Formats: sequence, C-alpha cells, structure tokens
Amino acid sequence: MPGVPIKFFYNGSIAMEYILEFPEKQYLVFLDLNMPVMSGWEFIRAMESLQSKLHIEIHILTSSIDPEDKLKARKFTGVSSFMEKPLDESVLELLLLNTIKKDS
Amino acid sequence: MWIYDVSTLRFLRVNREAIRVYGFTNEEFLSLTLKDIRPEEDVPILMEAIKHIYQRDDDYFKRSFVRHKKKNGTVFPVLIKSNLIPHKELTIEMVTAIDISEQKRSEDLLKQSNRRLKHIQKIAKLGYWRRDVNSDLSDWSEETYRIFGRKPHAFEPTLENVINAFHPEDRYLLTDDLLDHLQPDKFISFEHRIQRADGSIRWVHQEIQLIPDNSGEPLYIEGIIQDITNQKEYESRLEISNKRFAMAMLASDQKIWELDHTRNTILHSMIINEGQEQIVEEPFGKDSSWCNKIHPDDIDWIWESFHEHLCDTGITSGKLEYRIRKSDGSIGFVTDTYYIQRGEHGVPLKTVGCMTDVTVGRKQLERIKDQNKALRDIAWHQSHTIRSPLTRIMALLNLYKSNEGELLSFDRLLTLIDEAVIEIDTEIHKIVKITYTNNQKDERNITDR
Repeated sequence: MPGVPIKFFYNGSIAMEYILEFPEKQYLVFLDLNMPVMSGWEFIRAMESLQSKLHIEIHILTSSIDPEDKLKARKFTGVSSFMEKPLDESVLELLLLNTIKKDS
Repeated sequence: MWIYDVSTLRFLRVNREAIRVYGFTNEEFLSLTLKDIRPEEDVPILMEAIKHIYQRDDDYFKRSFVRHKKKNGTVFPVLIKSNLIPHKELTIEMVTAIDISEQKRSEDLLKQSNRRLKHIQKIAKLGYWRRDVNSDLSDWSEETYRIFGRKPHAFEPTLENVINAFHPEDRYLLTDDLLDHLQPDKFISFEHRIQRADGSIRWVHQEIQLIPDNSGEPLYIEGIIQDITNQKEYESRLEISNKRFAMAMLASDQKIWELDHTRNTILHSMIINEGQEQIVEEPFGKDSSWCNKIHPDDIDWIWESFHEHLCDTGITSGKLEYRIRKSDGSIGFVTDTYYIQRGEHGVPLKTVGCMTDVTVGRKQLERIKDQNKALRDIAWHQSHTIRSPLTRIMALLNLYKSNEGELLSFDRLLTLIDEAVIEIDTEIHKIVKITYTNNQKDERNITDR
C-alpha cells in the first residue's frame, strides 16, 4: 500500500517504546504472539490501559492454530481480529481499506 | 378324730380338735355325713372307696391322702388313718385326720423350685455333678447328661467313662488326681472339649470344688458344667473377622482411630515389626505419637481446623488432607475422614476417624499434571515454533507464485525454504526430547510402585 509506512519490531517491548514515543500517529498493528522479551499477550495487556488515548488497532497475526489462543484473544476488547499465518494479500488489502474508511 | 357309721356315713362322735379344725359345732358335726366334709368333686372318689371298704387289703384305706372341706368352704389336704370297728349291728370306722397343708405347701414349693432349677439349667445349658472322693461313680444331673449327649439309662458316669467322653487332646485333665489340685471350698475352673455319643465335639466350661466334712476331710467333689460351644464359635468367628479386618486395613492403607473426649485419649493402631498391627491408647495432645506422624508444617493448621470443627456443635463430620512422615522417612499424603458423636448441648463425646493413605493417588495426580504440562508444551511447539517456519514456507510459495519470480528469485526462495525446513527439524527434535523425558519419569514412577 503506497504511502503507508511499515515498521517491524522483533519484540513487544520495542514496539511499545516506539508507539509511546509517537503517540499522535495512527497504528495498524499485526501482532505476533511468540516473541522474545515481551510476548504478544504481554503487549496486549500492557496496551490495555493506554489504548483509549492512542489511535491503534491490533490484529493478532500468528502461526498458532491453538483454539485456546483464539478463545483467549476474544477476551481482550482491544484485539480486533485473530488471523492465522500465512497472511493472504487480499485480506491485508481489505483490512487497510476498512481502516482508511473508518478514518475518513 | 371321729367315728362314723359306714352304712349311712353319718358322724357318730367327733373330738375337740376336729371341731376346732373343721369349724363345725359338735351338734352340727353329728348332723353331717362324710360327704359334707369332702369337696363336691371328690364325693364320687369317696363313694367308690366306700364300695370297696370290705375288700381292701391290709394297707388299703388305712392310710391315704385326701382333700377335706371346712365349714367356711376352705379345702385342705389331710392324711387319714382309719380302722374298721364292728360294733353291735353297725359297722363303724374310727378315723384320724392330720392337716398337712403346711407340709404340702413346702413340698409344692420344693417341687416348683426344682422344676425352675431344671428349667434354668436347661436354658443355660448348665449341668451339675458330684462324686464322693472314695467313689468311682459320679452323680449327674439331667442337663449334664444332655450336655454330654448321653442317656441316663445308657451311660454310667464312672471315671473311666467320663475320661473317654473327654476330647482325646483334653483327657490329660482327668488323668491327674483332681484332689491334688483342689482346696476345700475353693472353685477352680477350666475349659475343654468333650466328645458326644454321636461323635460331635462340644466346648464346655467347668467349675469344680472340693467339699470337706465337719473335720475338714475331703468328702465329695462337685462341679457345674456349661456348654459354651456357641460362645466359642462366636469368639472364633470374631477373631477371624478381626484378623480379616486388620489384614484388610493393612492392605488398604487405612487406619482407624477413636478419640474419647471425656478421657482425652486416642485409640489407634500402630504397625509394629513384621507388619503386625497393635492397638495403642494414649493421651491425646500435640505431642502424642499420633500427632507426631503429621508433617511439622501441617500440624498447627490441622490442630486448629479439627478443634474448630469440635467447637461447632452443628458439625458432625469432617475431612482433612495433610502430609505425614512415614516410618521409612518418606513423606506421604493422607485423607482423614471423621465423625463426631455429640452428647447433651452438642458436647463432643467421641470422634471416630479413618485415615487413608492417598500417597499413590497424589503421585499419580502429580504425574498427570506433569504430563498435561508436557502436552501443553508440545501443543505450543506444534502451534508456534513448528508452524511458524511452515507458514513462512507457505507465504514464500504464495509470493513466488503470485509474482512469477519478480520479487523473489528461485535461488533465494530455495535458501529461505531450506532455513525454514532446518528450523522445523530443530523444533521436532525438541518435541521428541520432551516426550522422551516425560516417558522416562513415568517409567521411574511405575518402578517405584
């Protein structure tokens, strides 16, 4: 998607530091669960109290097909969807369009 | 005493004693006949006797027991003696009547008493016997014969016969001279088996004593004998049942305990050498051997919980789970279930409990927990670490296909797939290691049992 900057973070902690450094930006987060230092779940919990002050939409993107992970994800209101890898290009496009529509 | 006319049965003369005893005046007596002093139902007996008055032999009618009736209607037994006396044209008889009411009453009481005694002996299966010290022959009561299963007419209780009626293994009891073991007026008791006429074996209890004469010389030996076969069989069954119960307790790893709150003592079983169980009673306190078995970290809260239950009058049962120190030094887990018996105002009287060793169950539970954890780890690995490189391969292939090699060269594709495949292989090795470690633990547990 042209004009949309993409950032990669290798653990939740670095991602959180970046987001808090630039809280005015709008974020569409594709969150992996299995990460070192701060896992995906820890990131979600840490963002829970901050989410209302930020423009952030979190989508879990994981290789996990464990039904328990899916159920757990539903319990967090800050999680918009649970997607299994590999990510299909069309799904990504659809998501971006929805986000743009919401904001315009 | 009186004289009467045999043909009319009318009284001709009576003495003062007859007037006093029967209550009639002299005039009244002389207006009566013999029938008037007999109860109505006995008159036919009198008339039958009168019919044969001349045919009697020497003893007949001279002395007999009859019933007479006083003026006030009282019937009483009398012993009469009579003599026929020829007197001019009349036949008269002189009769002496003796009131034997008291004697008869005593005899009746004695007979009744004997009947009751026999009845009691029969119910209690209690026999009596005696033997003069200089005699070979004993005198047995009916019940003694019954106990030995003999008939009085078919068995003579000589010493030899009595010895033979004893069980062969118990005959030694009679081979010694009893006099050597007896002291005057002092009972000795013993139990032994007898062999009845039909061959059956019975257990009896005997109490015997030596009765001396006035000079203190042994006169006779007497004894009571009781059939205790049923009691012995019951004791035997009880013993077997108790043994079975103790063995079942040992086999089931259960311990029964009983707490007497009125005496503050605890009764419990304790394993002694070679798996033998012994019942122990001791004062109940934190320092009792019972409480010493409890793990030091658990004793305080158990003591507190148990006493809370005791103080709450609404509680009649409870269950506690805690650790114990086993005799081999290892730590075990038990479940202790108990019932509280309460008296007035809910005051605890007794508490009976059953402690079950659940160590094996607990260990199995721990093992299941370990296995569940291992399964969760495996599931996590499958879902995350294995599927992660796999999804990468899937994504790479999708990318290559959709862009026909524009974004990704074939060589680069192969390199990335190769890396992902190595990652998958590494993760599979990790899973195999988890499974193997868990199996090893499991096998050790099985061996422990």
